[in-house]
Amino acid sequence: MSRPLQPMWESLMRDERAWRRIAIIAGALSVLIVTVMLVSFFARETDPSLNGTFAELKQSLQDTRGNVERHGAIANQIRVLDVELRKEYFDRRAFMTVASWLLLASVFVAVASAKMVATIDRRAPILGEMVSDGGDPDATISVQSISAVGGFALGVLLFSGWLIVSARSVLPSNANQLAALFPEPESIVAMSTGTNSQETLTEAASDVEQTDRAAIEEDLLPTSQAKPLPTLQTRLKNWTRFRGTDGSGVGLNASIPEAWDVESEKGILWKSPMELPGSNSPIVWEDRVFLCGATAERRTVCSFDARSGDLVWQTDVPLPAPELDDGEPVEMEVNDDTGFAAPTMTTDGVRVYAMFAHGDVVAVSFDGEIAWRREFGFPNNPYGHASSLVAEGDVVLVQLDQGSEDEPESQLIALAGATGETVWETKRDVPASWSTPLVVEYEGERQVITCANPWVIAYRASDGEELWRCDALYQDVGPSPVAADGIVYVCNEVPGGAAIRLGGSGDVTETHVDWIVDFGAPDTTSPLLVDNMILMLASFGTLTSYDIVEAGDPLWEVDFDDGFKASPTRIGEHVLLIGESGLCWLVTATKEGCETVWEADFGERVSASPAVLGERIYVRGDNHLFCIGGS
Amino acid sequence: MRGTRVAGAIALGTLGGLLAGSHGDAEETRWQIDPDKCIGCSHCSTYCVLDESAVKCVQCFDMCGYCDICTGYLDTNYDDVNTAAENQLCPTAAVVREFVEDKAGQRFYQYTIDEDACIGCGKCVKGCALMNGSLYLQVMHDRCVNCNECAIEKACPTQAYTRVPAEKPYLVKAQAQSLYESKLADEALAQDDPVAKLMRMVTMR
Repeated sequence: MSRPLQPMWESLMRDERAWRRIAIIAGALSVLIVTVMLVSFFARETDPSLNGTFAELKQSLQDTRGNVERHGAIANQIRVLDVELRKEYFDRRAFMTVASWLLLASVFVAVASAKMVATIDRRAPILGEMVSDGGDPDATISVQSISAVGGFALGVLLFSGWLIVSARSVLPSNANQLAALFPEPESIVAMSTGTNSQETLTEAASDVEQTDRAAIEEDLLPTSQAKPLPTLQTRLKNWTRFRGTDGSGVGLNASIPEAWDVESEKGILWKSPMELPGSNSPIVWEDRVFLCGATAERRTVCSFDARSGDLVWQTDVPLPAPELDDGEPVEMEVNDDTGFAAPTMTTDGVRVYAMFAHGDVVAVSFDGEIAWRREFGFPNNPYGHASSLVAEGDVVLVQLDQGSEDEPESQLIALAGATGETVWETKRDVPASWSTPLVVEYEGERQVITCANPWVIAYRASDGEELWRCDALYQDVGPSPVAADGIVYVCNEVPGGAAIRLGGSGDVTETHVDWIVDFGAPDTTSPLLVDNMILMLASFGTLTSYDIVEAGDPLWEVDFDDGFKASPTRIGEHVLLIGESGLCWLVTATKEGCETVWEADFGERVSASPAVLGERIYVRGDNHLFCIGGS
Repeated sequence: MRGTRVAGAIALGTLGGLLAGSHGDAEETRWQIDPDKCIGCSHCSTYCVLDESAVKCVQCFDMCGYCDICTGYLDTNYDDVNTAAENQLCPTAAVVREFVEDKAGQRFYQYTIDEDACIGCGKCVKGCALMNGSLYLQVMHDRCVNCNECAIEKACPTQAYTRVPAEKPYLVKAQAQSLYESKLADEALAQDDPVAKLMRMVTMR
């Protein structure tokens, strides 16, 4: 049997030149593929949506809301670009996969061909006379090896010795360092109780604290002490905190126009521009409206004239500037929806108090002067701190919930309104939450009700002692509690709503829960009590009503075409619902159903809850503070 | 005789090695993300040594609210509630929205993850955390090369990366865990492999 190809194959196997060419071509191809892959890798976009044009178009889409034609055109551009970007992204990824296999194949061919060249080029060694310098090479190598090993061992020994000698003790070396680890809790100067224990204040921050201390000392003078705090009855006549002084979101005696229109300014007494953003709600004391705003770079507390809307004063609040051990500033990140000024301010009628995402509380006099400032470190909170302050008697309550379920770092703190000193503080075994505490009176005792995951916990307002707790809420808790007739109503999207009777002690989960409902509960807005109903407004726009006594199935559900961050507010006989887009509805809610009385549009995004005082409603939009009223 | 001694020594050594190995063998582990610590920072999509990250989003259906306005699906500044590109949060349209039912005036939708399209950026995870938190990230072990030193673990801002036993390489959220444990206690379910069952229920994979 003849094998005609064998000679050709054999000649190829001996053809060094052919193999060399194959090796060179395969090698060049490998280099080319690697180059293209590297270019593709470094030019890639890890996230198609980060493309500059795409981001610009999305921003333009926001800016052109209201201009239907232009808006539609931009939406179409986004869709086309989205397809292009995704196609490019996945094509690149597919190319990288194919290129990887091509590279593997070409490298294999290059190496195999090179090996063939080497094999063909192999020559038998020519044995010549061994040249010796006289020494035994084996003995030389032996000595060198022993020297190398010995040298290495000596090096390890010396290095270990240095490590032992130079190791510092983790304990403080002197009494001053030891004292620095345990700052006085009553200290007026800034302190950090958050996770950033490594934070140190810069000189600038220290200067601010010195100023604050001077202000406090001034405030402690007998003349200042002469200022009596308004009574609770007086406070109840004002809107002193988030959802009103009693936290119910009810402006019962209000008489407001049933119709208003921002565009024609009908029913709008005034509107004032807001310089800095903030999702905190307005508070009102007599003829003053207070708000705060902040960005990563600047923070202010503002006071507006409630009659005219004029800005009376705007006080800049210094930014804390903690640094890491290496001197780098600590970066502050918050969720865009939360922002840097989410907590609503509070007032005791003498001073206003504000808290920012940075974890500091500032007291400002009604004249706009900073009285004191306390820092608690950047909160360890995934979305940013949002729980609002509550003025109670002569203290300011701070629900500083932070950390995780496994490592909670939460506490409830009562600060003296006059000085900022800690009156009491209580550790809480709950993770970060965004709910605002509620103060209720039960059998002559003031109780602070707090909501978090999973515990609703009540504390004695005078000393922070825990009174009772109830396992009722899960996951991220945002809604704040409300109360009426000795019952506290709490809710969260998971697991729903619950009514807890006051009067218990210890764990009341099995003994004092009147009812539980699991449908329609919100994740952000707080519930509202209307007559014998509880209304819950879900973020996606469904208003659900339950009988306050029996609960059970919803009485009714009504959908509103908007997202909601602002809590429902009762104004006289009506309920005001304000959507995120600025659309608002004035409705009447009875057990029979929900009827819309009036619809309006603020023309800008609204995420803060309204404040109601007298015959006026104050609404904070993204860009303006609106005052609605009949006269 | 000499051959017998050598064979005996080899046999003894092998036996000793096997015995020592069976007692001293370290547990084989895999990298995984603790979903209760993850904040969806997007480092998973950029720091993985693989071109296509081994980290993907999974959906825990028992935690999902089947919301019409899903914050894990819709961009924060969405224009309308539909599947148009300008309204979607996911940069690669990997979250698939399907209508389920209309109940009590509300429309409910199911959201599933197209794993091939998912780049593990965590945007949906961050969005969903505003609601039920049913979307979360996991390291997929059919893709992960199990580096000794995981590049994402080094970059993770919340130290959510952890080593888990290789035979149970996926994690569920603490809240879902207790729910599933009670479900798995069911006799009918207990006949199946609990870990496989758990992951199927959580991710529908």
